Amino acid sequence: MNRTEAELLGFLQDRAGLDASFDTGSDLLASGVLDSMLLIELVLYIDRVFGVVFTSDDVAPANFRTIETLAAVVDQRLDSCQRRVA
Amino acid sequence: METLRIRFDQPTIASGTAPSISKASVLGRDMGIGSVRNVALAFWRSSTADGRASLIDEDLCFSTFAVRTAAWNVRRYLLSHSNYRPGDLVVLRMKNSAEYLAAFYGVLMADGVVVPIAPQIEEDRWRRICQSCRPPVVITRSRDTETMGPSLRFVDLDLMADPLPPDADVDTQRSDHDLAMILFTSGSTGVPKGVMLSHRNLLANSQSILEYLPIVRDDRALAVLPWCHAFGNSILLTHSLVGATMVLAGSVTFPVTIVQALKAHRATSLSAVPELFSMLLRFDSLNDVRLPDLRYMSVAGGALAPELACQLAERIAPARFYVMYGQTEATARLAYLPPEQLHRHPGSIGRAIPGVQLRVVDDANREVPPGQAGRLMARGENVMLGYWKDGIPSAARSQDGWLDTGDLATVDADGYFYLCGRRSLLIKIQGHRVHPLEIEEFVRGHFPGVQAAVIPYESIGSTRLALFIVTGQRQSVDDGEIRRVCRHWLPPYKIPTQIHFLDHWPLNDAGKIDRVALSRWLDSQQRRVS
Repeated sequence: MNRTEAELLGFLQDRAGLDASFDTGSDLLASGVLDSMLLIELVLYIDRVFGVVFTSDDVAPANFRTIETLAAVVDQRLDSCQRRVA
Repeated sequence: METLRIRFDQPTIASGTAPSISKASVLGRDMGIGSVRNVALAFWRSSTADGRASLIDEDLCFSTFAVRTAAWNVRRYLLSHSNYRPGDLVVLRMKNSAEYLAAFYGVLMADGVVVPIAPQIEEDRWRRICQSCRPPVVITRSRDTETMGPSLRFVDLDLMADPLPPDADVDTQRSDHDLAMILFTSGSTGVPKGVMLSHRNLLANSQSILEYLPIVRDDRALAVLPWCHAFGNSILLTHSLVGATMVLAGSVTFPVTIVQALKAHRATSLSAVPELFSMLLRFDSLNDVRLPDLRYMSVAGGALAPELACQLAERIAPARFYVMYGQTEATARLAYLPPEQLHRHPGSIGRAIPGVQLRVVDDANREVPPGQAGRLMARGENVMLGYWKDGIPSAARSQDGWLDTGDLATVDADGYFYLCGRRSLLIKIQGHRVHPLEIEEFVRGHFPGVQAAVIPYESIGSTRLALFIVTGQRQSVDDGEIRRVCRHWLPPYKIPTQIHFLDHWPLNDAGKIDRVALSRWLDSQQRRVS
């Protein structure tokens, strides 16, 4: 588990009361963990903690399938920012 | 109790392939649904269609003829059932689907009473409703896997197994004031109540809605609201009774999918709760999107901030934006704000819809002058028969037929109404009515000895819940455990967002938990964060 995944898992554990068996590969949508209210908090959390702003197109099911897919999107965004700065 | 699992075995009934039957009259908006005796007859007339689409479910298309045939098969099943008698309550526990449409009209065509229940209902609430209604049959979909409680047996039915007989006709005996459906909702005391609606209630409210909303036969409405609730039920009725198409697509969790669905299906309307519209605006989902087919959007089921309503209206122009108001006890709708009045009467719920009277009264039932707050009362043919098994069936209505909405309101000099609070603790979340007691009792039930209070607050464009906990001396409960239990048993809209532990309760003058103080504290916390 990388740092981004751990942060996201921590946030969701705090907010959603996930079962112990829930991990970074578990399906957030099929399990019903992510509803519209939690989703919006998650997007704001990502903005606050990682400085990554999600646009309408980013807030799509494919990106929020699992913590892994979501962390990958966040990391990719952070990467491309760093490259631009460098 | 028996569970009937229904399915369409020929799922793709392309709209063009249905056999063309007589081009009998189809009920249009001008033909007066209000004058038909019952909902089954109104449906039967409207569905004698020429193979047009009644429902599009992602890539499947169900013609009006397919739905008519399927409803006929549900009717036939019920009438041949040894435990079923006309007038019996039949529970529908399904998501929005072609199966739901077939079951809804099939039960009414068999002279039954429809009791729709949300698939994700809590187990104990489900048991209580089944005990109270004693339905001989519960109808569900073969592809749903929800547990069905105390079912004695399961029966499967292919909805297209038998073709519609050429001479099929609905000889329904139910008339105007007979019970047609029961909608369960949260009551002002926290106990679930069954709102009893007659055929007249349903038809009168549909007729009123058709008089102010431009719903026509070639409409394709994106139907995101659950049909098992009053608002969604009104969408189902108005659209199916004029022969319009409903589209099931997109996920309300992801606003972008709603916009994609509007585009892909060339939808002409979207009706939703305030939370969805604030999400669409927050994520700028409607920026740079062309929706040339869109005719209107409408909001009800809670308050959308006036500035958001105006933003939305500008964003979707020339399509129109309707702010509406209603409640289950009035079938669905009571008031609407004509789109051109949105800027002139910001924050208003509008004025009474055709066929409905609204007034604001004081405690002595005297009408109050404009600007003065009072109780909002409503009268019309859409006001319910009463509550199911309520002892006093007309408890919510005064003798002259006025319904006490439970809302406090003012009216301005132009006759536009404004809500200014509720007299009970009822909360509206994502269009659902929730009483704090339901959740407080749930928490106490799972954590004996713990005291709980649930307080609503506003955050990021929606109403949310905060749970306050006071534990006894020997109790130790942690936040994570409460969240796990809530997540497991409660539908998402009832799960508290915040949990706070207190040493003792703030009390008001009456010695009760001071909910106002807790609410004020939550507001101050919100302001600090934002």
